[in-house]
Formats: sequence, C-alpha cells, structure tokens
Amino acid sequence: MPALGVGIGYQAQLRPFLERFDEDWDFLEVVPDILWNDRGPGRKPRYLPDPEGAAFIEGLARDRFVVPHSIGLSIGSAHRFDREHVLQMARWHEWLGYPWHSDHLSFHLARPAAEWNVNLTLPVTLDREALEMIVERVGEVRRRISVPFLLENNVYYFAPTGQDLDEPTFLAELCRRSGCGLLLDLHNLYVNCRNLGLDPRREVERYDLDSVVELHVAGGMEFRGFYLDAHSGPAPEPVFDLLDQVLPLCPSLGGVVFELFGSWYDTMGEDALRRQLGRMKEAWARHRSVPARRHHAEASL
Amino acid sequence: MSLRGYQAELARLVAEPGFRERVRARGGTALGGGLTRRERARLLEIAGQPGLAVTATLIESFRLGKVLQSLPLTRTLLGERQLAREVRAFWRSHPPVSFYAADEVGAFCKHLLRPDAAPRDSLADVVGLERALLELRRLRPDGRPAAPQRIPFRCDPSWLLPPLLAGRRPTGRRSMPCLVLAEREAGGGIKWLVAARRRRMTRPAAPPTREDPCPAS
Repeated sequence: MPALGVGIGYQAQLRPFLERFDEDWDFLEVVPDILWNDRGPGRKPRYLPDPEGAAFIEGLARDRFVVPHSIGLSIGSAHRFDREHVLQMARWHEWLGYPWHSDHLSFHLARPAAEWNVNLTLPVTLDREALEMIVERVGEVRRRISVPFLLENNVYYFAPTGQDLDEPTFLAELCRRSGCGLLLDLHNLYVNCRNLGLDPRREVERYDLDSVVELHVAGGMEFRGFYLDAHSGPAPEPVFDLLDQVLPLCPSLGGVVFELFGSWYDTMGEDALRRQLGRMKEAWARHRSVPARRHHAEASL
Repeated sequence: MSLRGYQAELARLVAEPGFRERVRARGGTALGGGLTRRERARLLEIAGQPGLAVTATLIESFRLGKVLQSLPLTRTLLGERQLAREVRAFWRSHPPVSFYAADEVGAFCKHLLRPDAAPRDSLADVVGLERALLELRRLRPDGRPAAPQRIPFRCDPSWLLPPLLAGRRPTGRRSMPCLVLAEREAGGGIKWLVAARRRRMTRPAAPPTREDPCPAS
C-alpha cells in the first residue's frame, strides 16, 4: 500500500486550482460517477463517459495517483446488488491503475414501486442481516478488482433504534470478515458526534484504526439546529484535532483527502483552500513518511 | 424481503412529503405490509425525529440545485415564488430517480409544459430553449455531438432573452413567431441564434438575424 500523502477531491470548478497549485496536493480523489452519465441498469452502453473530464483526469494521472471514491454502488440496498457498477469500476482500474477504491456504507437506491434514487446516502441498519449481505457483496467486489476496497462511515441526521451493533463494531466486523478497509471520514464522525452530543475524540478510539486506509477532512455548516456535512469550507478545529489524534494510530494509512463541493470554491477562496491543504500536509509530515509519487510508488506495488 | 420493504418505506419517508405527513398523522396504519415489528417501530420512531426533516430538505436542495443550475432563464422568468410552487408540485408527482441533472431537469421541463398548465408563451419559449441546451450537453452513446436543436418561439427572442440573460424579467409582450437554432460548437460551447421568422420557413435557409452566447456554455 503506497502512502500517498495529502489528496484533494476533484470537482470541475477546482480544475484551475489543481493545475496552478499542484504542489499543494499529492494525489487526486475522484467521484467517478460525476465523470460519466449512468443511463441505468441493462442499458447498453450504460455508462457514458464525459470526454472532457476524463481527459483532464487522465492528464493528471500521468504523474499522480487518482483514487476513485464512488457514490453509485449503494452497497446497502437490499433489493439488488449493482454488479454492472462493479464492472465499471474494474474498467476504471484498467484505465487508471488506482491503488485502492472506495464507496459508502449506505444505500440511496430503493424500490417502493419503480426504483428510486433518493440522491443522498441513507444509513444502513446496523443489524446482522445487513452485515451478512454487505460482507458477501464486498467479497464480490474484491474478487473482481484486485486492489483494496474501502467503505466510508456514513453521516446521518436520524438513526434507527435498537440496532444489533453500533457503528464502530459493525465496521470492525465488516472489515474483519470481508477484508475491506475503512475510509474514516473524520468530518462525518464529528458531525454525528456533534449532533448526538458525543465526544468525537473518545468515539474515534472505538473504531478499528488498523483497518483505516484513508481519512477524509471537510467542513460543514449549521442548519435548523443540526450541523451538516456540507463540504462547504474549512474544516472545524476539532476535525484537525481528530486528524492529529489518529494519524499516528493508523498503520495501513494511504492518504488523507480534503473534500469541498465545487459550488463552494468561490466562497471559500483559493487562499483558504491552500491553507487547509497546508495544515493537512504539516499534520502528515508530523506523523507519517514522505508521500509517494506515482513512478516511485508503482515500483513497490 | 423485509429489509427491502423497510428501505422502500424509509426512502418514501425522506423523499415523499405526503407519505411523511401521513405516517406522522396516522402512525403505523400508513406503512406498507411485510415489515417486522422492529422495522415498523423504527420507521415510526424515525418519522418523529427532527433529523428526518433535515434529511428531506437536503434531498430537496440537491434536486433544486439541478433545476437552478440548468434552467437559469426559466428561474428568472418564473420568479422565486412561482418556481418554488412548480418545483413542489413536481416533487409530489415525481420521486427522485437519478443523480443526473439531465434526467431530473428534463422531467421538470415536461412538467412545466404540461398541457393542463397552459404555460404562457414566454415560458414555453424559454423552457423549450433551455431544454434544447440541456439536450445539446447530454452525453450520447455514440460519442457524437447532438444534432442542432430547433426551438419554435412565439415571442420575439430579442425582446425576451436579453433581460433574462441580465437576470431581469422582460416587461410587456412582443410576439414574433420564429425559430431559434441551437448547436454545439467544436470547443464544447453552445451557441444559439434566431434562424428564421416562422413564416419564412418554407424558403431557403434565411441568414441569422441575431446571435448570443449561451450563458451556461
């Protein structure tokens, strides 16, 4: 597993920033679903690539790693498992040679009548039944794509009651039984803790940090008495505290990524974004080794 | 089957306002069958959590964002209040089915132009134009650009469009049936122009009378 250092989440609005300040980031994380149009299951071809976006990513991928972080799998959907999506990610692996890939521990597809896509990652029920289903599906993903597959802890604003397991236990068991890794989104964790009145520094210790391959950092906003995972600006200080806390405790860590929705870039501004990435690089340097660039890292893969 | 049913009902709770209200008002009788006792209890408990409304608002904001980004001229013409009314009416009959703006916004355009709504001429013109621009930007299976779009206008585009492009509603009304031609340029941008007054359409191609860059190109 190469240690890539500090990454940034790709958004089309960030293209000039990515090119101009290419020393501020070590690798690029891409939500692949925004670089294609998914026409739906069974359509041929189902996935139509955005040629302009793909060309940009391909250009960057010549000397940086590009790591996909998909939103489309809906691995927690009980009514179907989207094997075509897995095949599409396998095609992306052939194209980009990514060192790992990830998706969310959630579902957004359900079938009340026709299939709906609720446009938001909903929390899976942390029950044995869901665990069995997801373990099996992770196995399929791993058999199809040879590099590590990670699932991200979800953010949520409501929670089912009386679940068999809590989230850290569910994720630890999922990682142990399926062989997947954990993408620990520190902002998601912070958001959930803040809304539930929990101490994130204590909660983070309950996760299986040995399984963490990637960390996410982001910012949010207040809304109707809740704090939202809005990816709308700089990360709050407690998220940086969490970063400092966990960086030395994750032996399998490959990278830490800053997420910002492109529509907030102008509001946040170039300088503030550079400061975020700079702080993350400083934190990485305090606790980790020198980031690997693509040509060096590939020799050790 | 039970987990499928639970997820279907949860999706309705977050994305179907009428269902959410029925569950809050009538409790378990509003839920579908085939759920375990624990799942029913969970859904009822979730229906009462304030975070459910926040989640529903987030979903609506994602859906609204696609409309606002894709239909800037329609937004200006309708105004915020009327647009909000139309969007809410659309959501009542159209649950979310896709991440992608082209699918969502295309369906919303159809909603705006439904015959029973009797859209006024200027709205039909502007929605027709923005729907055509959306079609031009849509990725295609053969990888080739979409064919040029021909949009019939009832109003005079030179009266209707410049104020909308400047973020203002036009005043008065000026009829001029004509055809607007929109096409994708080699560099990916989109240009549109008034190709001909409609009464001339049987003649050989008329020269352009007006050309404006598309604000969304």
